[in-house]
Amino acid sequence: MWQIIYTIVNKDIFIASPLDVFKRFFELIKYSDFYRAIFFSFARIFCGFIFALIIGVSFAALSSFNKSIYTFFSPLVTIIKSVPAASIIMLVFIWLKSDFIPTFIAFLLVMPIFYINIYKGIFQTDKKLIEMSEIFRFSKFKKIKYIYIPSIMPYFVTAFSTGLGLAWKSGITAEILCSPIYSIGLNIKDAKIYLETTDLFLWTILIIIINLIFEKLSIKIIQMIFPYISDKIKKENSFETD
Amino acid sequence: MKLINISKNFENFEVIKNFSLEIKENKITCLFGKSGCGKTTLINIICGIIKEYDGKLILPSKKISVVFQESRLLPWFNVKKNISMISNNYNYFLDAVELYNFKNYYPGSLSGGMKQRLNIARALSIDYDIIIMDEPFKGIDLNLKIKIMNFIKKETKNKTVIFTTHDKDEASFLSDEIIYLDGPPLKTCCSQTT
Repeated sequence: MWQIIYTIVNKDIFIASPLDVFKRFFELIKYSDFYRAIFFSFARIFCGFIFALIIGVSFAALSSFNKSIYTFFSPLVTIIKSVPAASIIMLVFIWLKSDFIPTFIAFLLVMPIFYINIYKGIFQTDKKLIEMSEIFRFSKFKKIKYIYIPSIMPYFVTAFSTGLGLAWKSGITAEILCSPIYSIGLNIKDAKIYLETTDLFLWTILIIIINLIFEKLSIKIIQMIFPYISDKIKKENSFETD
Repeated sequence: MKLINISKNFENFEVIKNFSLEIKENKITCLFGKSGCGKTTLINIICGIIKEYDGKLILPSKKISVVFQESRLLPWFNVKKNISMISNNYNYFLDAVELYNFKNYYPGSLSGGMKQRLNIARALSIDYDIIIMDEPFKGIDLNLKIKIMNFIKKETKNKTVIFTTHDKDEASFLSDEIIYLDGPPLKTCCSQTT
């Protein structure tokens, strides 16, 4: 498909050739700066994402059980969610060193996704199962482990997957605007300035691949820790009896 | 166990009004009445699911077990896990309700009757002084129902059992006393010792 479009357009400045991108990849992997750019971008974005996960999940849990935390935190999340990413990046640019901006931006944009999804998951936990757990004298720990966590898991996986994509998008955008040394964003910016469409395509494809690998790997790990979220496992062990 | 002047409204609809009842300890008591007469509301008050009501409830023990009308199983765990998370002696109870061979199945793959059998096994497997069963035999076929009723009789010796039904055969087979109810609002019509 890409090759067909390239052949029709036939202008390297608009669409890079798949072969050129492939060749450029093998050129770039010879340089240590290529790995440094990937490593540091990944590290910045990953840190922002993990902070967002921890803060979003923790505050969602606290908000579900304490009305005043919800009253304080919920409007804050709505504001963060509505402010354009570029405005925040420009504002944060004044406050922080360029190295920390992508981390902060990824955190700020992903945290509301975790907060909203986890809060919704807790809120929608089946009340009848909670009543059942009280009758059968479940401890708080047992209630969280056997009822709340499995109920929240589908919401968590959705937040994880959406949040990861957004962390990459916002983190790279922040890198393009702030140009920290050793970053994918800086390479994309340079590619745009010097009209290196091949590099632009290559870095974009790399972002997609890294994001995809990380997402699939993380979901696999989550499913290994919490096997009940996988419908496949349920089907393997059962059949219809009606 | 005593219920004194119990009243419960749901949005101006009086389900129970000044209802009093005494239930004999260590006996099987059947609350017999048509669907919608307020039996489940009464059961929910006794087992503590409904906390806001008028009147007084005197319970001889806090150790209560319940067979819910809807099975309330955890859909993300298999049959074995659903019962083993509350009791170590699960094999015995699963065998009694003929679910031992289905222990690796998930609730979503079980029929209504099988879910209800698991619901019964789970309730019987914990430590309790009072067991409340709200229409426990719904969807269970006759032969198995008789087997399970005999098992309940055996397992609940020296325990207080309250169960609701609108099936006369179930009531007379299982219970020591049948209390006939009508409503709403819930009222006692008469009682009969079997």
